[in-house]
Order: sequence, then C-alpha cells, then structure tokens
Amino acid sequence: MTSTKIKDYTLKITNATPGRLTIISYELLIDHINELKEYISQKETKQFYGAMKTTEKILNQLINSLDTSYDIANELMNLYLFVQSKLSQASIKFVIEPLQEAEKVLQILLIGWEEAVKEEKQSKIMKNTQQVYAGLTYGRGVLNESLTNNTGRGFKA
Amino acid sequence: MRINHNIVALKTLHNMAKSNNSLNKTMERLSSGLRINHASDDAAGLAISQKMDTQVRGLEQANRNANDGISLIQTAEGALGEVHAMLQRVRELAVQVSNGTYSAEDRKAVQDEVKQLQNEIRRISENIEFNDKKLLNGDLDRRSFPNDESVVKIVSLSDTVKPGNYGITVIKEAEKAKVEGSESTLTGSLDGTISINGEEAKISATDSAQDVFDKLRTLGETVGVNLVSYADDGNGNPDYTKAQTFEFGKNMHLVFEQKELGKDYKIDMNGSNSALLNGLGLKAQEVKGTDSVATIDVDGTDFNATATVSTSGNMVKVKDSDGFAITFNIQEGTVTGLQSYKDVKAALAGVAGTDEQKKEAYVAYTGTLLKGGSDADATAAAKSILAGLGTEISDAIFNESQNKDTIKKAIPDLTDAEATTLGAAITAKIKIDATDDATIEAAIVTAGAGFTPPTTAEEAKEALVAYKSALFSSTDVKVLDAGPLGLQIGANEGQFMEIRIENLSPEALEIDKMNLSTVDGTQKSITIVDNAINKISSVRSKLGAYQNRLEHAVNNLSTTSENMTASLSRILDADMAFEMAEFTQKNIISQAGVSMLTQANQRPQQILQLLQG
Repeated sequence: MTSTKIKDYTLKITNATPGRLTIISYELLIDHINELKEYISQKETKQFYGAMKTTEKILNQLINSLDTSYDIANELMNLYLFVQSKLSQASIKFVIEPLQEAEKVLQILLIGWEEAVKEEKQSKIMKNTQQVYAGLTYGRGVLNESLTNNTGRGFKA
Repeated sequence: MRINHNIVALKTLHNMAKSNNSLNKTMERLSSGLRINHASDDAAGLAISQKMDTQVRGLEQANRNANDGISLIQTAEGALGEVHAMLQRVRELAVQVSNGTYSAEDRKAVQDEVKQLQNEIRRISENIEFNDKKLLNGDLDRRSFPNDESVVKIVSLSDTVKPGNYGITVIKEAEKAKVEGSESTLTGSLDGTISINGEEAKISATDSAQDVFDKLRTLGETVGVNLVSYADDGNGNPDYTKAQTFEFGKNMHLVFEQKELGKDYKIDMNGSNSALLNGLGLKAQEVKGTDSVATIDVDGTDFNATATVSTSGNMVKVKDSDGFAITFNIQEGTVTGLQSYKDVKAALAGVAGTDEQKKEAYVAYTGTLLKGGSDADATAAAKSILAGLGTEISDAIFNESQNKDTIKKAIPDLTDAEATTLGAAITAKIKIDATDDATIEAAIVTAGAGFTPPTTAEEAKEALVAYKSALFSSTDVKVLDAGPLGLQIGANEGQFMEIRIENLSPEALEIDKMNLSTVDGTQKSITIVDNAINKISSVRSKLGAYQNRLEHAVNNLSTTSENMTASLSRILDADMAFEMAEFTQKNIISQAGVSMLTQANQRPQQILQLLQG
C-alpha cells in the first residue's frame, strides 16, 4: 500500500465512530483483495504472498471482533469464513476468480453497513487525536493553503 | 489525564458491560478514572475489579484464539481439498491409461501431467502457512529426529506413536535393477524389436549407432530406466569412468539402470532378433532390484514386540496395532564397508541356498548379534536357515583389515594404534575361540590396559555392544512431545487443545515414485493413489473434528451464548454465499443499532497496526 493511502486511512481511522470503523475495515480488506488481484495478473508471487498475510490479518481482525451474542454475528462469521476459504483457494491456485467471489460478498455486506451507519449517533472512539483543519487565506497577491495541527497528541500506530 | 489511561478504561467498560451487572457501578467509576487512580484510593475495589478484568480479558483472548484456530483449520482444509482434487485427477488418469487402447506416447503425456500434479502437491505441502506457520509439511506433528541423520530420516508418524525412543538398524540398502551389457560386437545395425518391461523399440538395419542408442534411450525413459554407454576397460568390463557416445565395432558396453530402488522395479528385456540383442552385448533377461533390510530393536527401545517391519525400496515401515506407523527413509550410502551385505553375499557364494535364504540367514545372524548374542549363537541362528553355513558370515563381518574403523566408530576417543590393537583382540576372540561374550569382554580388558576406556569389565561390555552396533548402521529415533499446535481456548491453565497435522508431502503420501508410462506402472499407481486419498481423507475428517470442537469452544466462550443456536455451517458454494450476503445485508440495515454492536469489539489501534503491514 502506498504511504499516501496509509496516511489517508490513518486519518480516517483516528476520527472514526464504531460503525465507521467497520466500514473502514471492509474498505481496507477490499483494497487489499484488489491489490492481490494485481499481483496475480502480474505474476508477482512474492508480493502476493506478502500481501496475502496482511489481507488474512484484516479478515481475522473482523472475525475476532465479532460479538457472538448477536445472531447477525453468526451470519457474518459464516460469510467471513467463506471469504477466508476463498483467500486460501486463491493462494493455492494463484488465480483471480476466488478473490472476485470474496470481494463480491464483501461489497454486498458493505452496502448494508453504509446504510446502517447513517443511523449511528455515537461519536468517534479515539479522543485527543490529530485534527486537521484546512483552508485558504488570501494575502496580498498570494493565496495560502494552510493546514493546522492542533496541539493534541498525534497518532502513529 | 494520559491518553493510555483512557484506552484501558474504555476496554474495561466494554468488558464489564458483557459480564456482570452487579459490578457495574464500581467498574464505571474505574473506567471514568475518577475514583480509583491508585491502589490506595480503594484497595479492595481495585482488587475485585482487576480480578474481573483479568478473567474477562482472558476469556476474550481465548475466544480470539479459538477463532484463529478455526481460521487455521480452514486454511489447511482448503489446501487439502485441492490436494484431494488433484489426487482424484491422478487416479482418473491412472484408470484411463490402464486401458490397453492407449499408446506409449499417450501414456508418456499422462505421466507428464501426473508429474506436474505431484509438483503442485509438493508446492502446497511446502508452502501453505498460517501466520508464518507451515501447516502441511509435518511441522505441526510430534517433533522427531534420529540420533544419526546419515542413517535414516523420518518421513511420517501416525497419531498413535507415543513420545519415546525407537531403535532401528539398517542392515542393507536397497539396490536398483541393473543390466550390465557385455562387449557389443555389432558392426552395423540389424532389423529387430527390443522390448523392456513390455514397451518396444523397433530397430532397422539402416539405423546408425546413434539412432539405435537414441531409440533404446527413449525406450528406457518411457519405462523409467537410464541408459549409458561406456568404453571397454580392456578386460571385457565397462569402464565406468568413461561414458562415451555409442559406436559400432568399438567393444562398447550398454548399461541399463532402473531409476527407482527396490524389487518392485525391474528390467525385463526381450528381443525379436537374438543376433541384434546379443550383438549389442545384451540378452533376454529379467533383473530385479532389491529392497533394503532393516530390523527394529524391541528390547531396549519403545517398539512393542508385536511391531512388524516391511520395506519397499529404501522406505521402511514399522507398523503395530492401534494404527501405530512410522515410516523411515534410509539414506543412501549409510551402509558401507564391512557391514555391507554385498561383501557377505560374496563370501556366501560357495554355500548352497537361494539368494533369499542367504539374505534371511544374514538378517538372523545380525539380529542375534545385536540383541547381545555371541558369534556362536548368531551363527547357529543363521545355520537354521542356511544348513550348509560355516563361519562365512562372521569371517566377512569381523574382517580384521577394516576393524580399526569399526572400533573408532564405536569408541571415538581411541587413537589409531589403540583401535588397531583392540580391534585385533576382538576379532581374534570372536572368530577363533570365543563362544560367549564374557570371554570377549575379558580379552577387551586385557587389550585395553593403558587406554582410557575400556579398562573395566563394565566398560568392556559397553565397548562390545558399541562395536557390534557400529558394524551395522544403527540409530535411535527420538519422538518428542513437542510440535503439535496448542490452542489456549480458556482463560485458565489446562484449557488447552492440541492440533496435529502430519507431513503430507508427495514422499509421505508415497506418490512420488508413480510411473504411468508403463502398463505395469499404471496398475500399481491406482493402489498407490487410493492409499494417498485415504490418508488425505482421514486427515480432513480429523480437521473437521477439530473445527467442531473449536466452534463449541467459541460458543461457550461467548459471554451470552443463548442466542447462538445455529452452528457454523460451512458455505461452500459461491452463489449460496452471495444469497447469504444479501440476506445479512438486509438484516444489518433493518437492525442497524444491533448490527453496529456485532462488530463492536473492533479497536482502532488494531486496524492502525495492520496498516503498517
């Protein structure tokens, strides 16, 4: 993943509400799956297996954060395990098709999450994180773009 | 307030909500960070909340562990599913080409495909990993290693092999079938057909020497036989240092050798024109390889007396009741020097009896000797199989000229001169006048005066045992308790389960030596693949059982499990998965509030960590 993307995600995560966090995990996972597809089509085995490890970790993170006292968690678990089996199939056969199937499942679920998160009233989880204010100021003959960090503690994972 | 206090507080708040309402207030205070900031603020309150916290956090981690276990098994299971499909394909191919309607070329093409599938299976068994742990290469099985890796290597262990010490002695290595042609006297080619193991090569009178050699080599490749031509050494034998291009009229020798070891791999040669065959220095004949010979030590080690040994090529299988099975692979070149069966066989040339009887007599002799019997006992045991036997075996084994090396192998501390003296003393006693071990040991003590060991009777006894086992290639194999993957699936000690997956490489599945290019080979292959498929099936069902157990563990570990009625059914079909996903999507939307909570255990920090790769 490029460093710009990592920065983007870091900012998103630090400012995320619990529901948003799930969506970000999905987006991250789908991004990685797309990356895997790239590697397959370029036949980059080494990078593929490297990225596969991260992808599996992200999925694992989703599985492990399920609270199984809710019925939906059970359904989600089944689907995550399906995605997992597709990931291992892709690494065994080194083909794109299983990844496409995995992605499709995630995309369908993502729509649901996007919809659900609209009703969320919780505030962001992490406090005292980096806040970014951006704006334009007009000076004599210049146009300044300013980016201000507050003095709160910045996060780097 | 420092930020990390806040995180811990959040976590505690979350844990508490799931566990116990009665402690709600205490915990809330704790999480707010207001009332208890130091132990001195409310010592008892802190102790209780910490204990709760420890247990709850332990359970949460155990839940994650169990989930990781499920994921790991899924990965292994996915890989095995592929291997299974590949083996089915191999079996299909084997059945297909067993049909007589297929030509040699067809079978060759099939063999190429099988070779590729074997490579795929090897790649899977070597590469499939979960979180850097290799799953199918035997790493997740009991750790086992021989004391001497130059003697045997361990291929696989069954689940019922208990940790312990297992002694094995290799008496003879497997040999390849070999046809050494005499001088080829042809000055030009002749018409005729030469067949090896049922496959044919048509040779015509217009062929050049190169053509003839080429046809024979291609024929050899089809049936798994190597062909090399050598120059004559001047005595009518091939000169193995001079491999040369085959030419007519140069007294060259054709040497055929099976690629695989053991008596299952033969060279069966026939020809339609004996002038052609004989002119090439060959004749109609069938030569078989020989299997290795090995014995196990049932007295001193953990093998049961009921264990049986069977060998095929250089593979030794020890089996016992209750599914006990260890497979060893004898390393090439381990049996050298005076202990080699070849020398003994040469010494036994004058004794009446079949090769099979001679081999058995030799095994009986060495077996008795290794169990602590004297030369006389051993010879008597061998004589019961080979009536005409004198002292030929012991003469060949206790060979004075190579004694020094054997002694040094047994007692590495000795100098060359000491070893020679001691060796001579032992050989003289064993071969000439000793009837029991005590006499030999006394001789060792006398000869060993002035050496470091062996000077006492006890040391002499040890030296004799070491000497005897140094004559043959003997090693102990240690099987340890360590190795299987442990999963901590409870918050406390002992809530533990073990996952074992044996080595599933082509060697361990025994499919590495299949040859589908011959009719004979295809028949054998069907059985070989069947055995491999059975093995994979049993591992898969074992994995299924593990997964069921883990799912139970997850159910129990979930703080309120009454909602969790449906077990995790495995979705196999992609269309089914899409349907399910749609359904779940609708559920997520309609129960937006609840669904947000289902993934509520997510921590931003964890995701941030993943971003760092």
